[in-house]
Amino acid sequence: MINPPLLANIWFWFIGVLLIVYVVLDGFDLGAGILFLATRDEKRRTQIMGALGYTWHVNQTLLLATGGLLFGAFPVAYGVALNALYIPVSLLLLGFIFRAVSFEFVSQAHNKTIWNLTFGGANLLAALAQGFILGGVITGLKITGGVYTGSVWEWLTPFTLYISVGLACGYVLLGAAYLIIKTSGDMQASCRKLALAFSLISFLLAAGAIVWTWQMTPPLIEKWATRPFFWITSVPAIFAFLAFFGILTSLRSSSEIAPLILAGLFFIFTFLSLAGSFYPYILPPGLTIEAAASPTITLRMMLFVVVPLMPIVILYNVYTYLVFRGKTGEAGYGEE
Amino acid sequence: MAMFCDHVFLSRLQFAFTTMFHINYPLLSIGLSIFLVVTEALWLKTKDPAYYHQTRFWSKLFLLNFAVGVASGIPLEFQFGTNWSLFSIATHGFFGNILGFEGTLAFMLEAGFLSIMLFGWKRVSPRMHFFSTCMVAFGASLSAFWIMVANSWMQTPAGGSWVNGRYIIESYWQGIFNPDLPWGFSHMWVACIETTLFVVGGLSAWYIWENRHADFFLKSFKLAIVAAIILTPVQIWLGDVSGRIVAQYEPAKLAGMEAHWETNPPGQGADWTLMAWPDTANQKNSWTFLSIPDGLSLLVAHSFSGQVKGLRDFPREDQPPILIPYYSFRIMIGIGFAMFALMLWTLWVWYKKRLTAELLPRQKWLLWSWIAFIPLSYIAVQTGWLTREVGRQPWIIYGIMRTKDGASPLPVGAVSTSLIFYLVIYTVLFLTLLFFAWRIIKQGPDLAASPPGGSHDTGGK
Repeated sequence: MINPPLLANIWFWFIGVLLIVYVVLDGFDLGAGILFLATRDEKRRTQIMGALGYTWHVNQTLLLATGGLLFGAFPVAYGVALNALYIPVSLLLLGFIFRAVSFEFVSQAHNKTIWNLTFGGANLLAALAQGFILGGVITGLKITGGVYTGSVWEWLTPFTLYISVGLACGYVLLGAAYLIIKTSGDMQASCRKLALAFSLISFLLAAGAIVWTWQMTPPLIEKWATRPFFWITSVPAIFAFLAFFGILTSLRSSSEIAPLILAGLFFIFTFLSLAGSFYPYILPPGLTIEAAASPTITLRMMLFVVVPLMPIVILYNVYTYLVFRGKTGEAGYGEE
Repeated sequence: MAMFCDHVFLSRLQFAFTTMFHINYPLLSIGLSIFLVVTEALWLKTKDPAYYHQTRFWSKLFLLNFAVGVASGIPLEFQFGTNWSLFSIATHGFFGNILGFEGTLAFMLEAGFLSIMLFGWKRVSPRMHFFSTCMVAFGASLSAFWIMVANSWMQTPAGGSWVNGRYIIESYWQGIFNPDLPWGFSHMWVACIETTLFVVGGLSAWYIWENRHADFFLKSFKLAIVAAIILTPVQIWLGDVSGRIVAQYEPAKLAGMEAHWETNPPGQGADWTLMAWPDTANQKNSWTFLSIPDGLSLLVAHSFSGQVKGLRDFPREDQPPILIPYYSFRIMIGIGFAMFALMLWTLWVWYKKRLTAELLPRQKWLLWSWIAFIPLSYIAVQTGWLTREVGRQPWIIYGIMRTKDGASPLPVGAVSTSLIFYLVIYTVLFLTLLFFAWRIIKQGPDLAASPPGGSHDTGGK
């Protein structure tokens, strides 16, 4: 096992944590947004928008911050990945653009149909695009001499399509689990049912993704079975498995918050075993953490500036969630 | 057109278009958040509900504007990776890092407190709410600071050296506080506030013209006037210093934006021209109109015979385009001085005691001018940036890296498709924004809403 230098290693895992926090938090936004598309009842749609109105931009900003830090700490990975995944990244941004304006435009518009459709579609598009990006990275990008040398269409394969659908289903699970907390009565009951269905689907798809990845990259099987990689591949996968059963149990209990927490853990452990599988590569198969990293002076400077401020960032974000805790009731986006 | 088959040109066009579109919204977010801090502070201090209603009314426009700003801003950061990956990789440990600071330290702050500021009126105490408004304003301005650090570093790179096609940073402090930063940032930050003042002032003028809530809007109109009286001359001064920084550190850009071909011999001044037509092939101006003798020397060096380097002193491949910087620069200063003139005129009307809810609606010309300055103030910022960015060409980092060497090797088809998409989408967004903004404006303020913060109303839900 080649150990990347300590600073680069710290940044890799720090950005990894931020990314997975983003995936879980914005995952429930996007998932609830996809459910919005499938909801016929205007009242329920209003409730979904109301529940997302104060979270989406904070969570989206988290991706912006994560992207910025990735740009700072691993400029080569940032440049190569975005260059290689030009089309899915553009689609993701397209989704984000329309999600962002839809909140405001739906609440302003007299005829809501177009903007309702735009909002739901934007969430679906963003979720699928993220899946294609993830799938593309797992498949491997053609990198020669620190530059991407593949074509613009290489991200589109049966495997990436599979990952894309799988991620979107996982997001729907998160979204349904989030709406359990924010709603009550009939709507809550149907969210529980949806969460149950999508936890089963997500679990099966995730298990299939692991097998498919093994098949594409056979050396991974050995990595999963031997120490020390065992600890960052198989072990988290086992925890993800346990989290999945936790979701099933919690959905039958009366707890409103447990399904979301367990679904979040399911995501976190799945991603951990994924990151572990490719470690010490930041972009498999050709780019290591070390080769992608900024010079030591930059990494150190970033650490000194960013890390002490993180507790403050966490504090005011938790505070915002506390201020807006509780059911959304009938109130829609921006209503008091 | 051959240039439309060039992926570098298309990437530049896409970046220019998306940035020029995006900047309109942060301009107003940065300025309006500060304006909202002022109106909310006035409300807390005077307990006059009118200031509460002011805060609520402008908040509505703030939210709409913020939504389009966030939406259009996301592609910008990512374009450095998608379209400018070679630049991103070469600038290594500095540029991306600065954008990372912007995201984590500044924009997170703004976004984190935004919900409370916009939707939390009944959920937190008035003090906590005011604190949130301050944090949004602080975050927005801090965000502008980091973005200007990144941009000014591209104009006057400092703090490291260029080794084997990569920029190695040695001193962060020098990189951040590069020569252009103090002036570039102040000039832009004041521009944000100035634009906002003309938007608030212009819209207030429109309501007064229509004789709707004239009393109410006279308050915001006067606030805008008082601030603009101070800021319009300050901005002219900041622009003057910025210009001299350009002359010192980016002489080719200055020569380009003044269409100044020949270095003036010692003891002889360089002229300033109001209009000119550059002839790049023959390295001279085909014609000039209205020259001010020694004007350029006076502007740049503050002396009648100060030396100003001409374009011919630079190899052709290092010369910037001239037409765009030259004319956009003139449009910007023209608007800057016109703003100052409008302030003098408004001051005169105020001095004559005609700035009252009864008399002001009759000052049609004055009100009309304020309304006209809403678009003009945006145009001033846009033309200023055109001068700054086109004038820097052919460099992406002045004197160090050429723009063409920073672009991602993308197929023309991919870039032209994304460019067309952005053109269409951003146009739709802009028109929709105008439509809804117009609706909010037509609706006017809700003067019946009762302010929160009675004895019982703190915290809780």
